[in-house]
Amino acid sequence: MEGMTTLPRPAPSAEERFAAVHAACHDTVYRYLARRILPAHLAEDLTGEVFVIVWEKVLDGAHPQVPYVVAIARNLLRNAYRVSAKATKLRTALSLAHQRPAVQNPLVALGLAALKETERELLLLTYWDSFTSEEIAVILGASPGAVRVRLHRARKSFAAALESESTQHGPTRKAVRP
Amino acid sequence: MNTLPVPPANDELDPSLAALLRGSDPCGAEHDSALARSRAQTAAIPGGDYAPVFSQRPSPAAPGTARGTALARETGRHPRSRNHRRAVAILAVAAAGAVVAGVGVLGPWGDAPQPAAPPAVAPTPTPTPSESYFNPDDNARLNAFSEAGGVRITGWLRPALPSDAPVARSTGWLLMPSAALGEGEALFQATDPWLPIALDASDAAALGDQAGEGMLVVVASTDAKPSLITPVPGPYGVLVSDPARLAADSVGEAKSLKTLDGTYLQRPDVEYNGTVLAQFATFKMIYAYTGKPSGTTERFKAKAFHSHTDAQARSCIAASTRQGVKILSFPERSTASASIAEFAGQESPVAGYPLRIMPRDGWLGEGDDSTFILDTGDTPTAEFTGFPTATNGTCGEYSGEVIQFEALAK
Repeated sequence: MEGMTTLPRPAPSAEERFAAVHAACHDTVYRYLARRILPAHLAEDLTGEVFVIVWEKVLDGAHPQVPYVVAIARNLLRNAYRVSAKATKLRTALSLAHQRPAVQNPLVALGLAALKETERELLLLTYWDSFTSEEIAVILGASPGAVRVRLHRARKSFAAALESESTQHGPTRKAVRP
Repeated sequence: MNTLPVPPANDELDPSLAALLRGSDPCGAEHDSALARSRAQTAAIPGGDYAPVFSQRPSPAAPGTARGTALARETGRHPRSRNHRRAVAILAVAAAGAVVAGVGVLGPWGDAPQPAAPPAVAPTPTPTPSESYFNPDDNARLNAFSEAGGVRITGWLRPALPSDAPVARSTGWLLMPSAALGEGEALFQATDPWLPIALDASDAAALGDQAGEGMLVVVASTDAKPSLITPVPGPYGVLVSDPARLAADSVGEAKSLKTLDGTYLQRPDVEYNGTVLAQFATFKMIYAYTGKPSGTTERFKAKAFHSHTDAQARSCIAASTRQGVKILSFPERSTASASIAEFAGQESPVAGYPLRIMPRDGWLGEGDDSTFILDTGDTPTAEFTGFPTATNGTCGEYSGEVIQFEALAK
């Protein structure tokens, strides 16, 4: 990231600024999308769309940082879920599970399925994408403090869900709510 | 202002759980080649006429064409800019609406065809709980179901009609999948959207009285092929939604998904997205009319629509217009469902949701072009035509003249 401020000319062209943003953000953005949508080529399509928007931002004089670009990707991802779900509420929600890459570990899959959507998103941004709370705050449009509190709750919920799953044979198993 | 609680100092997930979570990352080395390809395609800047790749899908108008490049030069914007995306989005929404309208006209609730013959119904055995039966409320059985490649299909179920192809009539019942959880992609590749489904005798008997016009169901199957869908044995193979229960509760808490013999799932929203299914349950209309209204139509411009669903799962629509509040009456057997304009995951009570009204049959569906879908969430304002009745009605907290709805104004 620091490299973006040491371009050879004091007033880099839009193309050069775009290239810097692209170099800093592309892999993170692609992986963020590939973790969340199937089939795989959609991740490439959406990445292309993200950088079309980034290009427009750069032309407007902006110098987007990684969290901001991931926030763009997040919006496009949500739109993709809706569009591919034919814009119906029924299909949209069902397609979330249908379109997302499968989590191979069944215990983790069940644990994640038991979480609220917001909790799941926070955990995956933290443990899959390795974003800090401050970066997640930018991505989600929330304050860092709120993100930390929600993340704390999400961790507790995930741990409780796994514990519940692991004791599934108990006679008084508690049903897990999302 | 609310004060957020301060998390404790030890705010980290147990290291073993964190490792478990990180280890489940689906983006592994197999994505490296796609990542490199994406990086190359999105980074290329050809001589200042930069035209980033918009989509790698085959497209007749790929970026970088002479016209697009010229436009980019003139405007400093990529030709597929925000306005273009907006236009594409509008077209996509219109196309989706047309598809839904087509289903409204041609769907299984049409009034002419009748079932070829009552589906074979054997003497109805009472579902017997069995250790081997799939049960989504039981984690062990749910795991076994998933490991066996189980798929949960949501779709419309109806009896076969004489007009269906013989192969489709083989079981007497057809299912049109709307969505599938699990490995159900092949179901959507079939040329005919209506796929034969083999219901057992008890399910067929339970559905016999209520599925004549088609109904929304969730089917659990470990043997789902386009040629034949076989639900898992037991009471949880075919599930339905209960509109009345949904209407009496909030979306988030309602357990309206149930077996055909009336047992409600304890956690439908976890494993089945059952709340969404339930939100899609169809509600009957409080105000309805039969036949083609007489008299002359008037044109109304709605400034807002107000939806209401009562505890008896009956819905109505009020429209605020320049002429005052109008209570809309729709052709008999029109139904309301939660609006498609709302994104899933909301937990508002269904009673206050924007509604989508669809006609099922009647003169609006007899070949004229006024068939409508009134989506009060997606179309908060609209011009429509209708027949004044000079009678008053009430819809929730709104009262006004009842208007027999004719069509959305062109």
